Amino acid sequence: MKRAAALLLCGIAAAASARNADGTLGAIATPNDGQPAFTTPGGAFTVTARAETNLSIERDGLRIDLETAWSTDAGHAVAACTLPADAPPGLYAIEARQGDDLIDRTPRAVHVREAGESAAYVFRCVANPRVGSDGAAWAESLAALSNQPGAFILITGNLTATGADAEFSALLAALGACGKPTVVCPGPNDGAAFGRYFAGGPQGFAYGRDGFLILDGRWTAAAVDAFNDPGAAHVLRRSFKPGRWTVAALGAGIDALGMRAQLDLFADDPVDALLLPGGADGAEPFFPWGATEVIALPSGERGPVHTVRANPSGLALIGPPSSAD
Amino acid sequence: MAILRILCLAFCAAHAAAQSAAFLSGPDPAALRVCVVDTVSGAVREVGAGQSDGPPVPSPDGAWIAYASHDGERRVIRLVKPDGSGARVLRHQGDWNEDPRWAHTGARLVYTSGRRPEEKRVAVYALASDAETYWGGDTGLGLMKPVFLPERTLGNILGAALTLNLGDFDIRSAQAEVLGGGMILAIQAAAAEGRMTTQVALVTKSQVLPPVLDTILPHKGVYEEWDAKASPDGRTISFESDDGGDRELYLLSFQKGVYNLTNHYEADWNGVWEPESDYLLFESFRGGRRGVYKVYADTVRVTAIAASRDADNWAPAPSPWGDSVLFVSNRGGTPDIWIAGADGADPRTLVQSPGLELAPAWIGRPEEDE
Repeated sequence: MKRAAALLLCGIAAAASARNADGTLGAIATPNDGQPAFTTPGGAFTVTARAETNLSIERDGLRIDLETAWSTDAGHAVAACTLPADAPPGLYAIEARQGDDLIDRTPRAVHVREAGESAAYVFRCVANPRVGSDGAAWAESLAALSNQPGAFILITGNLTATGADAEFSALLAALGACGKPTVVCPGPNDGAAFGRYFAGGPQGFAYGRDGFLILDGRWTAAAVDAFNDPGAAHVLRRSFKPGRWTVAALGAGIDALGMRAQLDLFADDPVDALLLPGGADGAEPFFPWGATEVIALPSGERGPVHTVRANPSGLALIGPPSSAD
Repeated sequence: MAILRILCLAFCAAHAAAQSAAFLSGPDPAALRVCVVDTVSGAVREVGAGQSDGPPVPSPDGAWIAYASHDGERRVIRLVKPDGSGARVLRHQGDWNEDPRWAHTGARLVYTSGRRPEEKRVAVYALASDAETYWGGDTGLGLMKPVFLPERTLGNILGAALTLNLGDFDIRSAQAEVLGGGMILAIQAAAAEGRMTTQVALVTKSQVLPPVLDTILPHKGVYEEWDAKASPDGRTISFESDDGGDRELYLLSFQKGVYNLTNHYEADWNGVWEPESDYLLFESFRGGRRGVYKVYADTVRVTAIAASRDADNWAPAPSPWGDSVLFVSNRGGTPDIWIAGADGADPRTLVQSPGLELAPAWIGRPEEDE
């Protein structure tokens, strides 16, 4: 199904509802406010949904209907979406409609950035926030990052304290306070509940010419082995063949990956950089493979916030970490 | 030919009622449970502990299923009969036990064991005496994917080792030990050129032999091997290696040497022997998506078994009766167990749920039914 692109200026504010009423994913699985799509005016991105719907993006009353080409992938409806060339840059909600009825809306899901390649950029990282049922402090911290340099905010490791639904609600509220795209990479604490609020399994996105693999750190090495699926990491690694750097973010220690997955990611086709959540003591994580640059992200209460620079030389932490306060 | 086909059909019909398979099922990895499905009726029985159960490994005679599973803070090897009775936990020395495989007689199990997940020693469990023994001696660390070697393979390996220059290593002392207790094939983590690598290791009760296979691999250098196993007839050893640039299936033939069996610019992995040792089923990206393929060991001819453009297919399990293959596919939206003819014809869903269905393994073999 294809629809002509249209640029509509809505006179009324878009519906305030986001996701399902309880915050769980609705008709649209990805992109969402923790697994956003990055694109440029005239560019493309992919939507995974329960079924084919009419899709649009919306920001401050500006609604842009999307040209979509639907297909089926692993039982899911997948839309290849194209933006109009005159779509203004910004961070948009994605909306699904049946006819004129809005059936799903996820805020901060599509980031349209300025056209033209940026060979150098920075992004910010927070490790192991362990958001509890009151996410107000993290909402303040993420809001404070809105006006600071950084293409996006990567939050990796244990997103929540215990994986409780109330903690995910608090996490979503905290993400909503941030004016920049936020990318989440779950850790062992986040458990099965994560899959109700964000798409489960390995994810990835492209930023410019770089590719980012988001490695789910929820399950122990034993559980990953239980999949008896040595090809899972293959599939993810193969899904992104960026023109420049491939960066992997892992939500747990290296042991969260079985040995076979490590061979895929660090020996057969090594990723260029690996972002690992670390302890508050700043100890270097154990990493026995040679070709990948490991960037450890020590964590602590309410921060710290790390800044990673990507440029033609590679990726590196720059400067001392700052407080999230 | 027609008579042969009739006999084959009659044989398959006679065994149809007895065919069953074990697999994993659950809503998420932490809640996976070993189950058994009647492959004719589709009836499913839960038999595992359901504590992040690992892949089920039926014994050669089909009487037992071994699998790793959590037990509080420990990871243990559990046994259960396919009807769910007789459940027991092996008595371990270490708290982290994983990846069980049966000896060909069904009297012993081998698995990785250690005080911590990364320790990974090789443990052999004698079921009759309920005794666990660590193999490999002081150098037996970092060992993974252990399997017992058939007697025929043992003879071939010892014969080959005697012709190789192994420095001060006394192969004759190992020979005496091997003939008394057998030998295990495993993957060992090792350091080379300042980083970690993996290599095929031969493990006896008291030592890990020097990397004999590395001396006869096609190219010199540091490559990562994985998943080494002997063919059922004991004539060859298959293994994965990234020798050549991407992951491929290699075959060590004691007559022909080592050769790249699957040789394709897309990765090939997870080779599984069919019972007659004529071919392996394996996974590959060569069709664009992850699919299941068949490669003949003698002609290296490859055919597709389960490959599609809109879904992944993996974890093949060829039937011991030679008439069908089980595999996992996510073409229904989540990983489900599928069954097809031995050539991939007539695929259909065998077990389906909104959760995960993984790691199918046939139970039993024709000899035990007769």
